[in-house]
Amino acid sequence: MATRGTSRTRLLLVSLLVTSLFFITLDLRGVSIMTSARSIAGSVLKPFQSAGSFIFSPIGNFFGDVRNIGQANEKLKKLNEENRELKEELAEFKGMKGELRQLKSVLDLAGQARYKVVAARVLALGASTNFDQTITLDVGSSSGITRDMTVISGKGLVGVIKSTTSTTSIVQLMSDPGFRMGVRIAESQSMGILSGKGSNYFDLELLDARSNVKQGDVLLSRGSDGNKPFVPGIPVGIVLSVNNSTGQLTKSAEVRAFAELSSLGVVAIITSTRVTDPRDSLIPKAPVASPTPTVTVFVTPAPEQNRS
Amino acid sequence: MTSAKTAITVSFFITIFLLQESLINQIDFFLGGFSLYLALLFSWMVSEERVGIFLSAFIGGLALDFTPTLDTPVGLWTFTLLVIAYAISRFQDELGDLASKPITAALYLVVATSLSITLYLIISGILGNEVPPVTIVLRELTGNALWTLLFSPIYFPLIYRLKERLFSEQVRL
Repeated sequence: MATRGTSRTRLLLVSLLVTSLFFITLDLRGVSIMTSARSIAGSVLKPFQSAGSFIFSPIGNFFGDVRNIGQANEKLKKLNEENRELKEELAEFKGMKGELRQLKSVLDLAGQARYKVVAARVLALGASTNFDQTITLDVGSSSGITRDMTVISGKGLVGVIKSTTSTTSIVQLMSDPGFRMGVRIAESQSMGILSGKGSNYFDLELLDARSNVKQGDVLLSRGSDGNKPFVPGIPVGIVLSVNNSTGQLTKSAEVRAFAELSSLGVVAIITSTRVTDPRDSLIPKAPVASPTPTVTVFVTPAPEQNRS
Repeated sequence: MTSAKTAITVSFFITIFLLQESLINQIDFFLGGFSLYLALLFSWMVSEERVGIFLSAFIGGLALDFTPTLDTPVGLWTFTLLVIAYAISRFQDELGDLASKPITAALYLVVATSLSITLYLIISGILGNEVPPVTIVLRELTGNALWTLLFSPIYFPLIYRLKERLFSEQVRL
């Protein structure tokens, strides 16, 4: 009986194996019933899989997240570090970009007047020992800088070299309350004295009571003997308002400096000039309005249809 | 194997097949996937008689062969599981009653699932199907073995109790 049972079991196993091999053969021979059966199974499974995905994906993701938590923390730390480095680089780049822009404009101005200049970076603003308005530059006597040289920015006059060391120099800004300089009005050639007030605004006092000054007049440096401390023809500022008080012997006006004295990054020290005065050639050009593009649209009415 | 028992077996395999495809496959397991289907199939088979083992392997393999994502020929899983089923039937006496030997049960499940996957890949390769790189196969096998081992104390006793309840009810009817 046991032998018969064993042989029947073996027969069953063999027949099942043969059936499975038969299925394999059919599939390999490309019988469509096998492919169809699989696609039917796929169709049956789809709703279950969709439901499972909807219900179970948050849990599935949780398992994945837990598995990657160590890697994620490490990656986050690395990204934060990269982000910090990039921010530092960006800040440095922005600073360099600003300095480059200032350097370009100051060299443009110097080149226009054919001044020989030494470019310098502003190391510090203000003086720690007193209330003078000064800046410290990173060039000094070793670069040929001497006292009373004119310092300019890309927009105009900045100040005068007050003292030097071998590697640095201190500039008295034109905004310093003790600063006085001779200026001329670009158009009328009237002379005046400009005085610092501690800000970007200045007092102008004309030397001749009969001279005319009006709002918008451009002031240029008058120049000194041997071009020290002031080189002639450098743009200084623009007249904002005129004081027409009858009691005054001379005319006075309020002036705004061209140079932004509170945001100086790169300046230039004029070490030598050409023989002739550049006169009014350095006056900053007024901004030109860019043309606004216009579009003209021609509309041709469609011919009217016959109305019934 | 009675027709009622066969029907229960078919229903059981279809249920765990749906469970595997719709839920277990959604989980991104560490190392590799976990085949709950194979683990439950071998848990089911081991307490069967020889005929039951072969029929379970055939039904279970056929269900697995209809997995839509498979690109191997239909019948390959059936053939593979029948070969493994034969091996199980040969060593069934040595294995004894696994319900009282959880460590042996866990090891049996690990060996059975790993062997079946390996055999499936070998035959698949012989038939000209693309076989994944060895590193991936080893990772998947390790992952599957790990999860099969870890979860076996949960599902193995459950399958035993379920079978007892199902078939004792059947006997009573």
